[in-house]
Amino acid sequence: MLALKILLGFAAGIAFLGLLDRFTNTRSRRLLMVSFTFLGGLFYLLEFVIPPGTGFLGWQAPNPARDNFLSPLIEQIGQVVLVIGGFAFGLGLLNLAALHGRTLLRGRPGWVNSLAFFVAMVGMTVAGLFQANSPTLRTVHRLLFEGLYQPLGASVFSILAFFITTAAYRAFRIRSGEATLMMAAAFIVMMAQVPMGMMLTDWLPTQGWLAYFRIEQVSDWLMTVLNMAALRAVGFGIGIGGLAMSLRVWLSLEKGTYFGKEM
Amino acid sequence: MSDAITERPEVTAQRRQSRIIYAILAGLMAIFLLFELKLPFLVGPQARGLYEAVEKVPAQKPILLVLNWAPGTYGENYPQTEALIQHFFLARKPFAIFGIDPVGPSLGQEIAARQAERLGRTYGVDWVNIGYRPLQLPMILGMTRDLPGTLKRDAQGTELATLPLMRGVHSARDLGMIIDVTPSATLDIWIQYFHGAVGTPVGYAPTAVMAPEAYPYLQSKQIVGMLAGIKGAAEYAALLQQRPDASLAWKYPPMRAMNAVSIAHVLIVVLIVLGNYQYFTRHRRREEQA
Amino acid sequence: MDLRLEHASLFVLVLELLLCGLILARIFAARGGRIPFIRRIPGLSAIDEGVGRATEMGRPVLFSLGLGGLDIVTLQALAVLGHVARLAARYASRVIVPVVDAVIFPVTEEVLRDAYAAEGKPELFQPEDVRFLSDQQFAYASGVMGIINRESVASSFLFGSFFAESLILAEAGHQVGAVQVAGTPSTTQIPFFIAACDYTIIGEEYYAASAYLTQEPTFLGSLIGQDWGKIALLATIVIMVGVASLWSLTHGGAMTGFEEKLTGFLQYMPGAAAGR
Repeated sequence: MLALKILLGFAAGIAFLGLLDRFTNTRSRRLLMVSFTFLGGLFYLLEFVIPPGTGFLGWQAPNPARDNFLSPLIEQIGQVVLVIGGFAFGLGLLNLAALHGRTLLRGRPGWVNSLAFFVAMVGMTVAGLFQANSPTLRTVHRLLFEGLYQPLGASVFSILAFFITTAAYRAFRIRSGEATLMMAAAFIVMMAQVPMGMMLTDWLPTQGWLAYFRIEQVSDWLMTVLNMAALRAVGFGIGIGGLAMSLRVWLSLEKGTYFGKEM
Repeated sequence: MSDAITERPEVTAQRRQSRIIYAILAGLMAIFLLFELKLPFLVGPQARGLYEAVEKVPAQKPILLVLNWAPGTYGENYPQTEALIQHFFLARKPFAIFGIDPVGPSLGQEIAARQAERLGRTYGVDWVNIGYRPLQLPMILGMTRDLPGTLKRDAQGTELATLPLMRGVHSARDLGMIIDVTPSATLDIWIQYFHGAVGTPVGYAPTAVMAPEAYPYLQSKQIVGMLAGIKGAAEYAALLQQRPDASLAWKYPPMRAMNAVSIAHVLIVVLIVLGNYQYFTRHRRREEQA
Repeated sequence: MDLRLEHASLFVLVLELLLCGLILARIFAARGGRIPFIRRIPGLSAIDEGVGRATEMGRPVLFSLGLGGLDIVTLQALAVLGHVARLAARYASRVIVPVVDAVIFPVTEEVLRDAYAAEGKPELFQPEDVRFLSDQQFAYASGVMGIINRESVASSFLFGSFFAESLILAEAGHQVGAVQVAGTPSTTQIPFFIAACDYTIIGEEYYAASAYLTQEPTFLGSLIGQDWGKIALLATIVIMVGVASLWSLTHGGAMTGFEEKLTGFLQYMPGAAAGR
């Protein structure tokens, strides 16, 4: 029954898109996109700004102390977004399969990697889906997940340690006043993170004004005062930048930014 | 190897140097990971803040342990999760594992099941695993309003409302705390929609790379404490060790990893000094030639 | 003070209206002909240089959109990608775009296709240059590293939301000698980009990118509106710090009384009862 519903939904979706494509031109398509974007944004805006307890034509939220009449719709709209996202995931997988399929069929250099992709995809899917039914598949799944996927992921992350070392070696040079300041700050923060660094100022008392010169105290000051002031300033800029961009997208004030032609 | 490299000759020299540095780093890390060394250690205010906040959570209010990490950040997030779960079990704080990364909750399940068996704790009473849900704003908003109604079932398919631990939980107000163990910027969700909207205390256990972003929230008390990477896990382990009922068992002892991190930091500092020495000698040679 | 945000409180409402008003006013002023001047941003100027270098060397350009989904940060990255792709099309270069999010994938493909079409060279667009690698952070990172090394990219542009993989991508680019420009609002990753890239676009400069690259009145006006917004916020902070300092001087303590009065005042306002 569920499969039938999914199929019907799928067919209806495709038919709807087909009709849209058949009966709209560039102008009406643009109008449609602008209207949908505006209505979508307006919904979330109104839901946020309308005070809780507000009704509309006698329609009230089940919990008026906390919600307004639009709040209950949030979940339904979320489901729609989720379904669209699901379709897109299939697209990603198709792209991967097409790319590697071509490499494999044409025997291009690196075809072994493409073969590995297909083997991994099929192997992991089968082992993951049917592991409950077969102890062998459960072992295969464990082997693939715990024996291969987990250590591979951790290995890539651990490359970071190596890259940080060489990047720091290269970047922290006393070229200018600013670079020197940055290096000094990096030195203090790095050393304060580790017991060996803390030993540098271990001879200073833990109480009284001299305690402020202990490396962990200086590092804490750098992180919570200097670093935070800069972070907040950047944060304000980013926040307002994001707001401005959201406004432009919502009101469709941007022409041809994402797509070369005018929408 | 490529035209690109021949065009930037300094890159070829740097590649050679990099290989030597990588070899030294790998060797040092291996030694410190293999052998246990006792180094002096201080517990910072952030880890202590989180520890004390967990202690204060009322026994009837479960903690939501959000695990948003995947195997990639195993090295840091695993010991953090293991430290937190051991604390919850020892201090008898019921908790629910949840995640917006598909893999996180299953990794947490493994830790919790192992520790529960060791300490004699029961599923459904002392802990539950709600499992993974894809991140969608409506779902998050739904969780704040009607948690069991939005999430419905646990990872095994049992109705959440039927589990003893979840019986008193209706909305986010009934949660004792939320702790986000994560390598990505998911903290805002909990601050904005849980702490901001209903006042649920939020704790944070990020990878060390992500930790600086949380300092403004620590000062404004929007998060009660933080475990920054492996250092945070080691600090938490040290705090757990001080408990009279401390019965701890680690799959990956955080202290050993902390020692390896320490030596890497020292190496970086030494390399920075060497790099600058090299920079100055070259600079002087160039000036002399000029 | 209990200013909870399930719905907008009066404070939030006034602030949002003020900021939106300022931005929209400047946008419409710029559209009406009052076009402002914006300073040079070296990182954005370097984009042209990077694409040119790829053309000279006959090697591709790599453009990573980071780990974000279809959000404002990624949309801005897509806007920069549109510019890079047009340049690349003009010089008949390839742009490889590895993608982490399946929803972004078709949008990215469209941006690239349109950019090549807009430059009159639709035949140069190769669909396999947009590649969905994985939705897992480090699987994606290792995939991008592989592309950087195999294709020996001449330039690498990293725009979008980045996390721990930032340095992995930037250092891989550095190792093949690529010219690298990075831009991100993810503040924790900025130090890594500064250490490993040739140019880094910091914080809000990121949102200035489309204004700078297109010189369109709408974007330029919006940029000035943003600056006015920041000035308004700064002024609020300075005034409040002044008031709080005066209060503590005259009343000898923190300004708790003021907070209570303000909360009391807000209770009479529509929307202020939210979340209580």
